[in-house]
Amino acid sequence: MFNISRHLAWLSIWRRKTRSLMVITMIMLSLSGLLGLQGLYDGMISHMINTSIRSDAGEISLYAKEYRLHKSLDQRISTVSNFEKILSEVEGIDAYAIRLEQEGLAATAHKSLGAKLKGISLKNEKEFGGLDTFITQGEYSFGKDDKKALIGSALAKKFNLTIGNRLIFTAQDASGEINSISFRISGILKTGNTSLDEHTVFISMEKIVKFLDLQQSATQIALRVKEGEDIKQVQKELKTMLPDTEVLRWDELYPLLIQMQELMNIFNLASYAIVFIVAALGIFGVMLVSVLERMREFSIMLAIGTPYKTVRNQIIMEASFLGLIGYMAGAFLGWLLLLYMSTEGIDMRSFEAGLELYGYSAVMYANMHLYYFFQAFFAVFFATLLSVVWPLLKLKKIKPIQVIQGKML
Amino acid sequence: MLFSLAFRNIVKSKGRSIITLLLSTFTTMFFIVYVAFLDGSHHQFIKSSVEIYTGYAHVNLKEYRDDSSYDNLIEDANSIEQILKNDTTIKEYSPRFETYALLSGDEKSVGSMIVGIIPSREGSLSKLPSSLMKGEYLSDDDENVIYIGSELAKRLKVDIGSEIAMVGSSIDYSIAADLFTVKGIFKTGLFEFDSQSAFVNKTYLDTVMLSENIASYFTLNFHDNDQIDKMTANLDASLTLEYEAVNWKTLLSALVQAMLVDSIFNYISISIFFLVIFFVIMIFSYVNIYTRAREIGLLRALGLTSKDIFGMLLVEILILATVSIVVGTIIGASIAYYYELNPIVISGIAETYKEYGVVSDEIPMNFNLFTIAWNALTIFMLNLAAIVYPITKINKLTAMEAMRYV
Repeated sequence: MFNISRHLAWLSIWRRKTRSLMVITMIMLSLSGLLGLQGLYDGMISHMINTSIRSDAGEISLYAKEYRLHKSLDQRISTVSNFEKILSEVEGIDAYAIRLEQEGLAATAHKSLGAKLKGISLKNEKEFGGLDTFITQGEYSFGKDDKKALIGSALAKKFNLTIGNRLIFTAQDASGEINSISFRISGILKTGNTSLDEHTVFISMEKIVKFLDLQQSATQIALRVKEGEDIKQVQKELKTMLPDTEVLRWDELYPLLIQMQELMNIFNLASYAIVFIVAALGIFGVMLVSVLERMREFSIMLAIGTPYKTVRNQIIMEASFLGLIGYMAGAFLGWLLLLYMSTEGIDMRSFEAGLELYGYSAVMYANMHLYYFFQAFFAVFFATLLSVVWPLLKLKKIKPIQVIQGKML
Repeated sequence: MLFSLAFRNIVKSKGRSIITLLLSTFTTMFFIVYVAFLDGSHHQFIKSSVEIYTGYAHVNLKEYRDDSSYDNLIEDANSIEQILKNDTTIKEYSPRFETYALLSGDEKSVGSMIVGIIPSREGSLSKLPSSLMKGEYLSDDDENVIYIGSELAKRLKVDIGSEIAMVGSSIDYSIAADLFTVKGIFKTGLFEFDSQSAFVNKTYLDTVMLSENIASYFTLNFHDNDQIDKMTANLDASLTLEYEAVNWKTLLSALVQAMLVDSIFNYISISIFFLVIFFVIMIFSYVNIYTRAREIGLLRALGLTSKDIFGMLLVEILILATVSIVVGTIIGASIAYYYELNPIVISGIAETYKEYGVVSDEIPMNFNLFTIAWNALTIFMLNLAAIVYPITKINKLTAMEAMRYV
């Protein structure tokens, strides 16, 4: 019986080709559009999260208590070697980067701007998050004797700085004295993290230690965790081992990114719901007419003893075939779209300034996950089922003999 | 006759008519409200940035925007002042001298923007006086007192009456240093601005920075800011070649661009919704027209031309589209108007998105008749486009084919 229903359903949808093709095209185009947008939006947020983790927060960051509130060197991590020893004992940690930072005034001969001076180890940062890959001009090096500096791209632009230009940084050292340090620029970095690109000058750890007159100190120790699912466990372990230190996950440091991701998920779900409720209306229109114009046919089937279940299955299958073909075509088109956007990217460089203002990359790459396609399948599935409820109720109410006699439709 | 036939068909095909009416009404209303909300939030963003500090237009040296160093200062501010004074389209103007210096409290130093302003003139040019949170705003005869942002005060750990040491560079590149007393603390809501800005009476700062009769730029406000492009162009023409007049669209070009990108993405998102609406209207129209194929064949056999049939079916959709769009526009426009006057309040949004320049929990919609008109017209065209294929298809059938259509 099931095979008969299936066969009849398949033949029925091609009886009115144009109508069926309209429904299939509607599902295909809306689905591929939704998949494309979902992947693109997801990719934009993921990119921001990824650059924030790679260039700054790691999966976990350690700070001295209250440092983040006052950004004062008084609240710094001291005896860094002890921390290094502890970190080497935690299995889940893949790499770590020790940083020492101080706010101050950066100046060229013609201009001054508020900025941050950050002491880093180039080797550590390369292993930590591939900081070297963010270099857009110059080289990933502090030069001979660590005399040079790297600078954020937006800050360099404000100063009109190019490679080899000199920059002077004035800040308060650990004892409260105002000191200045001068260096030439060896490289310009563009991380996509606005805080770094707009405000940060990187110098070697050895140099900043001397400049601030601080030994064995750090303002942040950022950690990379081997496996994503271990982040909370590693955080817990570190909290126990370092009770006087703030141990924060990246999502606690950048709560806005998580909020944006959640908002994006809600937006995607709402889009699927709205689009497929309306799409269900389109499928419903076709199914209703399809059922109404074949009322006599169904009545004869019922009158000769075909169970209602068989007729019902046939109608459900008709709608399902429409939905399934639409889904497959839409998923394929969406997959192509996502494949293109995830490999080639969308070039938005003509809007670069606007996008960079909010930390987005000017060339946007989409994400592609299997769950997008499952989500889309359920949306189409529900839209299809929803669309046949009313036609089936209508069919259930008919009196076959009267319909055959043409007395009622 | 066509009209009465079309009207009869609308009444007869209740299902299709109701669905088309409801869909088009809802879509029109939704589109108008969506765009009003989008534009409203963008306007709010830009308005905050313009009105809090930047101002509607600037006059500066041509190279200043690319390189805002001491090399590109207005060195004869009085001559520019004279031009602005004689321009009747300008409501208010004031010179500003912007520089960066290291500010030090008792415990901490921060690199910050220091601006010399004429305090009495800033009232109608910026929100500096009205953003006072603690202490007092500056006056024109103030000397070494400073008006600083709330976040900067926190970073420096200072309060009203505290002393702040400033070390910077005067315009002859010699070291400029002075001691200021905090007179007032302001909070505009623009997080970055509040954490990096401090203001001093320009007359006094000029003595420290050696910047008498010198300004970074003049900020100004026109009587009619709605005609700002024209006003700015006229002002620009009245300046000598080395100077330029630019308005907020240029000054905040990155922000304007960001809003444009946001709009583009939103329109792309909403276009998927429109695509589905288009297909649903098309499907219902197609189904409806084809269930009347025999009737249409009969009409053709009775002497109506395919043009007449096209006209009749077009009038049907015109009636449905006009009614739904008028109703949808009235509802949508009323909502937009109401929420322009009584903005939507999303508690905590300013705090959450402060780093992105959100300064208020209130998001007003933007009621703009031109925008509403093009929104409504878009949905109208969508309705018309949806009917083209079904009409063309049915008109390809001959009278006999249509009458025999099963």
